[in-house]
Amino acid sequence: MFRTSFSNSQPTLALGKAMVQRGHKKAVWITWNYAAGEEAFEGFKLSYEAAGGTIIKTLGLPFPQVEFQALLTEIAALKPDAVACFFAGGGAAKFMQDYAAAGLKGKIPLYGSGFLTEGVIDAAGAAAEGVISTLHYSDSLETERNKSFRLAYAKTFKLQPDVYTVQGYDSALLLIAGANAVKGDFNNRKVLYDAMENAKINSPRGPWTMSKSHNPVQDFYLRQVVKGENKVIGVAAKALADPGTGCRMG
Amino acid sequence: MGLADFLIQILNSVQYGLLLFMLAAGLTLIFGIMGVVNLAHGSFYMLGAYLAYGITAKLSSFGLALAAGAVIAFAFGWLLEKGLFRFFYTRDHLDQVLLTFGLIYLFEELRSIVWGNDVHGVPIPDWLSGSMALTDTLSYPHYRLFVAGVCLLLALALWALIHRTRLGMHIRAGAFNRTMAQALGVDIERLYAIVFAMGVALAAIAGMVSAPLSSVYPNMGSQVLIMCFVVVVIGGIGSIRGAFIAAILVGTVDTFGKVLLPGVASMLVYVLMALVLLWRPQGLFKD
Repeated sequence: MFRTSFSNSQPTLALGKAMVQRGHKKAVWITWNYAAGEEAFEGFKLSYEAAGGTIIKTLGLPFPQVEFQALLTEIAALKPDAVACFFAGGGAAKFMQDYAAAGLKGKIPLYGSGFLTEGVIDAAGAAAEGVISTLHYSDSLETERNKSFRLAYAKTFKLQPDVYTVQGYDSALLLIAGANAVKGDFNNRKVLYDAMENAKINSPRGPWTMSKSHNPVQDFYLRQVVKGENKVIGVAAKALADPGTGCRMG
Repeated sequence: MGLADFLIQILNSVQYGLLLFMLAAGLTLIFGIMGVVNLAHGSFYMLGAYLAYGITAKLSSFGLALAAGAVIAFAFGWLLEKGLFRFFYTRDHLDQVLLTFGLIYLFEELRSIVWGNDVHGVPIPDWLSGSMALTDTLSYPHYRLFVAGVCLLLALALWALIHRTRLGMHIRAGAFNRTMAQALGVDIERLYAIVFAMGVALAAIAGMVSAPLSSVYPNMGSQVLIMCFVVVVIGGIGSIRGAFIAAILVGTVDTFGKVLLPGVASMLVYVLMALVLLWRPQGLFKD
């Protein structure tokens, strides 16, 4: 199996160091108590503690509950330097809104795995402004490769592409790399797999390669929401590989 | 936890509890009085939230949207009762479950066709968008207080309707003994339609007032449904008063559980339900 997207702990694995570099040494972590939330936490804990940060408390609520008020009250009482989180979809929009409504926005900076601000910025409105997150892509990535990809996609489908589109596009690129190596003969497995393992994908997200555990080794961007867009403010981690703990290739 | 934080968490508990009450009130009414297990109750909550989204975009007044949405939801409930639910009063609970379970999917699909699958925000009306500072880091949004106020007002109105009006008397009589009430000249069919429509409207209003707080998104109804049933079961099926007490209780347990016992918070509410059922199998206030 090859994966062209990301592993769940990867975005937060890029987050910890960036937060410490920005001067936030004491953080509260908050997420849903389920597999994806725990994986995101593992990445955050590894990177944040390695960079010298301290997680003073981890908060959680059952997935997919969105009643955050009690936990926001707790955050206000703890007064950390920053809050890091993993939320996605409707819950992410509500979390950012509640965070702002509780008066925490502007006092305690909010960070998160990039899915916090994917596809929900419009729904969250002003509450999302200033939120910083890490992801392997941003719609507003200022590269020629990304701009031409976005233009071509918008012309063809009359839709704006997003991170999920890019992942799908890259799957096709990977398959093409494999198919070219065997000249269309998919029974030639050894050569096919070798070619896919060693492929260098020139993706709209930036070039990436395959790790030993068949997961992308890719750059993670530090993005801040400015005027309703995930503006890239830096690279949080270059060529970051998932540690692939417990993953053995057959 | 300091005293100030404790008091703020109490405020959170009550506010969450009041919202739960408004959601559960409609369910307990329909369940208790008409004997219909309505799994689609969460869909009415979703309907309300999407109505708020759809109407505020057009009317640009939240108050008007609220009123219009309540009327639409009531009419919708009325039609649903007349066209569908009244054929199911005498049927088995399993048939009702199948019907309402099917309705969940139907409503989700309709929502998808009409409004799409995106997450949407509903703006908080300007006059409620402020907040008051409670501590140096925490402030409390006015809108949350407004929601609590609306819930409290509806709770009082519901109580007055059922215990202080002729209609309420009929409702109570109908719940007690349908055939006897009918023999005494109560128009049961009309009564049931009103109760059902009221239940739908209550859920929709809950959805509308929470839309600016929670944003609107697919499947939002199924998330609240389980909590609704917990509240109804703890309070005693059909008891408005029971639903009120149970909702506040559940709100408190949930709020403090998340803060004090995060490891087991997700099951505390169900532990509470199990304990209440052990102690009073009929729920807190079932006569």
